[in-house]
Amino acid sequence: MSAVEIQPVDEPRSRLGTPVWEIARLYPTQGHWSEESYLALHTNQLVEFTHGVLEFLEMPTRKHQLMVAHLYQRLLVYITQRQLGEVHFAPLRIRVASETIREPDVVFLANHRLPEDKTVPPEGADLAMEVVSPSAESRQRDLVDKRHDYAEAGIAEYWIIDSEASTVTVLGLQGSAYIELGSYGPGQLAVSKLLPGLEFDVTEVLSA
Amino acid sequence: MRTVRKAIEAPRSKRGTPVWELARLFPAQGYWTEEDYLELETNLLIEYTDGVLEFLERPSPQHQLILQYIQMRLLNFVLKSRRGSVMAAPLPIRVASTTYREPDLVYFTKKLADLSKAPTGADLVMEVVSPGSASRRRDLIKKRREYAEAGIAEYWIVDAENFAVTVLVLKDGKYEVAGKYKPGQTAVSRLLPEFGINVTEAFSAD
Repeated sequence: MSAVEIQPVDEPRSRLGTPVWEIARLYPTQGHWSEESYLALHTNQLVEFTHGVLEFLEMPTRKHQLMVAHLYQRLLVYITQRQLGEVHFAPLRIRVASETIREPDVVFLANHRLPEDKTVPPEGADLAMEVVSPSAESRQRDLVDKRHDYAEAGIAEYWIIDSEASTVTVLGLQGSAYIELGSYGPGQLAVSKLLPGLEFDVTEVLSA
Repeated sequence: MRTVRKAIEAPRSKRGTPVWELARLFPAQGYWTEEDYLELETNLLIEYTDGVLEFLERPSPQHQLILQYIQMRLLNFVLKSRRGSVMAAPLPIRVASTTYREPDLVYFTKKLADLSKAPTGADLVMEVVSPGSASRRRDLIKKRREYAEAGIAEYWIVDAENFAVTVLVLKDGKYEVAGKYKPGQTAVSRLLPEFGINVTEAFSAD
């Protein structure tokens, strides 16, 4: 039997009405999760997975959800009219790299990419959109981490809707990295290169 | 009318720490059902009372050695007498309609009919208390009442801090001390008259 562990001082203790923090001890520690154990988690909370670490996304605000709904609806109409594939909103798990699974706010999967098995996370996507949440962590994740992950996954176009900066940025994949196809502010029309004719009025998006 | 609970900030996990945020995927304390509790897949000692999960202290090496000795002796007894069965924690035992405990050792005079379900009650239970476990000591008082209410005929308290083995026997819904044994003595069961434990040996197991 291994040596007695001293309980660290900052180990959280649950009380009546609080989450049961101690439950975490039934599971692997951060950095030690396998893709399999992540996928076995059944939850409708937003949890992503990257190299053994679980990332818990903030619960979205009404504002966030209204913006996502606006984007989703427009994209859905465009894709459906042309029968190009499927459009989904979070949380849908997308495998973007060997040990990384993301749940983009809005995602377009072209017909050729759809797995036969509807229960398996799709590999990559054709277009992803993220509405950036206010926290620093969320900004880092959407502006930096996911920019890298989505490029690595070969997602042709990545849209970042940043209400704090009042911009809609459209990134296009060139080789293995994104270049900025356009950064649009209020009063402007953000346009897609991948999907000609798909455009969004930035003021409408930001004030959804 | 919906009750709105205050949003609780999760402690933040980092590389190498437990993933505290997982707690948000599960019910809060007080809201666990028996099914939720019994579905947990774990070797951790977790008990259940009225919707609340209680995580027991990890046992010390000393505790485990004493327990191992007694378990071995009880198992030998079962094999020789060809009667009953012995099981060790973690094994949830239902002691009340909404309470599950995980005694260190459990004995059933009859083999269990359904091995896939948590048993209700038992015939004999034992708890080992090691030095310095204040919470365990406190638990014993509560468990004395609970085990009695569950109708468990005999309850042994093996106290490594005071080097005593107390055998409690159920009479009229309450426990009476049938015997309190010190080193040099043999603690004997009333339920199983041929079973005894040499107290010195139990506490010097290593």
